[in-house]
Amino acid sequence: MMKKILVAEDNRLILETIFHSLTREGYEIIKVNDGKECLKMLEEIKVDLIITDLYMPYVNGNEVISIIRDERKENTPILVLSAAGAEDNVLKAFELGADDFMVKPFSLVELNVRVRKLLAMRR
Amino acid sequence: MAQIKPNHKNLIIHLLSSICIFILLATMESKGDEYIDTKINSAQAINTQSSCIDTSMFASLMEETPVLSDSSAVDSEKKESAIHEKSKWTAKKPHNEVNRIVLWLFGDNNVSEFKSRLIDFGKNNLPLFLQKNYLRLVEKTYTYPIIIIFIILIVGLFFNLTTVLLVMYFTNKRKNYKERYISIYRNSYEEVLRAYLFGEIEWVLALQKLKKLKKPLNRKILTDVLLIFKENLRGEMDSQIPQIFIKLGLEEDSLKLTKSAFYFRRIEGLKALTNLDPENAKKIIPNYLNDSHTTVRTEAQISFVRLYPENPFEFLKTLTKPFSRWTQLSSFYIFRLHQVPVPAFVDYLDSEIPTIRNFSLRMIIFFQQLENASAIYKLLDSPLEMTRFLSIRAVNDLRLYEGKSIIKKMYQSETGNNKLEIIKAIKNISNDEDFDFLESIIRSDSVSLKTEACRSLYYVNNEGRERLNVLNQNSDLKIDQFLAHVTDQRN
Repeated sequence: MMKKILVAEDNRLILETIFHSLTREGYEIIKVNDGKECLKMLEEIKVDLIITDLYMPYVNGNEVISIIRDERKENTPILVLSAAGAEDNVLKAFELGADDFMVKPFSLVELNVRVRKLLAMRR
Repeated sequence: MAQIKPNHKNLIIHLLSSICIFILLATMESKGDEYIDTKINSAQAINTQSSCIDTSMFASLMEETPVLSDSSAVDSEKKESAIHEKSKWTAKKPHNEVNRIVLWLFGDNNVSEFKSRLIDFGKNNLPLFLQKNYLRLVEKTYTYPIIIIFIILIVGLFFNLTTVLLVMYFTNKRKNYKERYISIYRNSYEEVLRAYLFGEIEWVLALQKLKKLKKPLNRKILTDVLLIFKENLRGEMDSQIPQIFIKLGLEEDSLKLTKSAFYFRRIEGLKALTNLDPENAKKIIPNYLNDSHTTVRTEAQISFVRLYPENPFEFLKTLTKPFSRWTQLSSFYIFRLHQVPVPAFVDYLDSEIPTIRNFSLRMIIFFQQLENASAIYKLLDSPLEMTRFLSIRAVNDLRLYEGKSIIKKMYQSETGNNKLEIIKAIKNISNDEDFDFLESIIRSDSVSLKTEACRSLYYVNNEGRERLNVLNQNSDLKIDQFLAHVTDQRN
């Protein structure tokens, strides 16, 4: 059965590129453009991994992580993909419950490896 | 009987009032006509009596130049009275012909006076080339019925409004069309480039699919797409993206943009070249480091930091304009983000530009660079307060013990902030010899300096604490309150 990955990213070009890259790897990708849509989608479907940006409209990445972990008590792996790679941002994301952090510009090969690793850990 | 709705009622009242106004205007118009006819007839009667006044004389009268023919005395009297009447008629002519409503509202004399004032104003204040048209305009205003002027004004207003609305409509339509156009081609270029970058199609096919690349707007769209790819992706694609940029000759467009008269286009060009064609960027960036526009200068300096990782701040030596705080922050961020090797900032301490010296001092403190302490001591003598402040902080943070005597000497002549910084530095680099110095500050009047001196003396060593106890017991300084504050963990 195909693994479902929810990708929340406000930059359409990057969203499509991640979609393209991960679909080739055999995953089912659900695309959303902001944090609000991400949380709404998570109410409707169950996913195996969440990839989220930090700076998004309406609800930002940190809030998304916080809601998933603290309010909904879900343990779906979360990979943060952000250009805000300062130490403070990384630490905060991990403290809130992120499982991995990738800084933009990022390598698609590296993303695929990290996704595979996170999904394997979940098993 | 059908009921009249309130809306209809209003409409009827409106219509009736309009008809009333129209009738009123028409009545006034006819009265005005009668008035004019009477006046013209009387003038014509006089005119026939005075045979000497011909049409040319009438014209000269209009110009207010009294021309009289050579006749008998009786004739002359008649003529004079005729001229007088004519003049009166001329002065009243505009009134008679025209502004019946205005005349009726404001009175005959007031309107005439207002007209002569308007003419005087024009003659006294307007330049000669405008005077003719101005006087003609005043004459016209007094010649044509005011209702026509109103109609012309309303038509003009309507025309203006229509023009504005049409311009807005077409501008909006054009903007929407452009946005749609950009969106369509952006999506198309993204798809083609993604397919090419993922190795799904060959370059020849990709080139065929990249439509309308001769158009400047399309080339700009493609450059933007490549920039987003470059800024977000690395790995294999990192090298492929600049290749596409050069293969399509987009670097020529960016080079042209850097020569534009508009600063934002210059920035656009610099940004594209820095990210997608670093070799060309390296050639032109030095020309923009001292650009007259601050934003262009900032962009060029940030680009320099990115393009020369082996010596990112070398441009500071050639800078002739202030090094802005924004550039300092941005270049420091890029410097840290790209893990660029740290240069020796002491090399820039002798710069003639204060902002560069201060930035270098901050960097020296941040990276704890101890290469050349004497260069820092020299700056303790700077005429600028901020530079001295940062130098004192450097002495403190880098624990430059040799600088202690210098900062102690300059204490008396320093500003409040710098005095505080000196006392803070003494805390970290002092020994028993400095107790007298700190005690003298404790005996001063300033509360903040006193507090800081107590803190320094307390934290130097145990002897310092003893000295404070002795001071507290043997003097009336009442430093126990200061000590309580200093030793409180919350402070």
